[in-house]
Amino acid sequence: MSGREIALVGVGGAIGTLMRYGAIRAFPIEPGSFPTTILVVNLIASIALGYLLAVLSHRPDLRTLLVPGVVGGFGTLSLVAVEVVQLWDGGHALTSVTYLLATVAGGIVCVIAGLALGRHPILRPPMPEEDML
Amino acid sequence: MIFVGVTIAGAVGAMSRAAIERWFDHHFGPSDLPVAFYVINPLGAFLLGLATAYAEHATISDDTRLVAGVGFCGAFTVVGPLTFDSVRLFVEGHAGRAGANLALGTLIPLAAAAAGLALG
Repeated sequence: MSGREIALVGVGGAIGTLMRYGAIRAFPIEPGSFPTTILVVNLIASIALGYLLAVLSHRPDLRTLLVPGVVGGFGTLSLVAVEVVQLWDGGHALTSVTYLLATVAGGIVCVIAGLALGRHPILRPPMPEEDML
Repeated sequence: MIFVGVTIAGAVGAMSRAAIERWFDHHFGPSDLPVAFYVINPLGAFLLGLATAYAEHATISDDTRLVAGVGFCGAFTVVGPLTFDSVRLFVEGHAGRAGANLALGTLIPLAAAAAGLALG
């Protein structure tokens, strides 16, 4: 990744961060309750990630701006990790585990949905069955 | 006006992520596993844990927590290497590596977040 590409990531990252911060301000989360806002942010980021990787394979600059930039700045893992630990430590074990599983499993489903929406070639080739566990 | 600080910190976080990714590509070459993110995501989770604990103990202001935590750490870390790369590894026939990526990509950041919260 060149310096110019890193600058593109910075511009996109600023936009994505501002969108995520706007979402947090518009839909604040009470301590101890289910963090719906960040979950929805990450699910949207996952759909966008799959779709954009599929449709922008021939637009490298736009892909750099949007994928590691906007989508990368919008979605987040650190906020999930800290919230999961805090919910667990605060005696909300069920909420904590549900939130973690919803983020990971929901994220996988949304990435696949995005890849399918954009008809990403990764979903086309037959699976090499001899390597599957 | 705190959103300006959060936004700038987000740009710095995203660029730092891209720079570290580039460093890993240079030094370790292209890898099947998103190795750079086994460092990036735990580091961001650790720093956010620290910032969250410091803010709770009033060592730093809530504005500082927002800029450093929601801005920098939020944009520095990403879920994509956990989700997309696991899907990619699976459809490429590497189910074991996909499972390992899911486990490592989840558990290391959680441990790092817990460490940051405990040390802050």
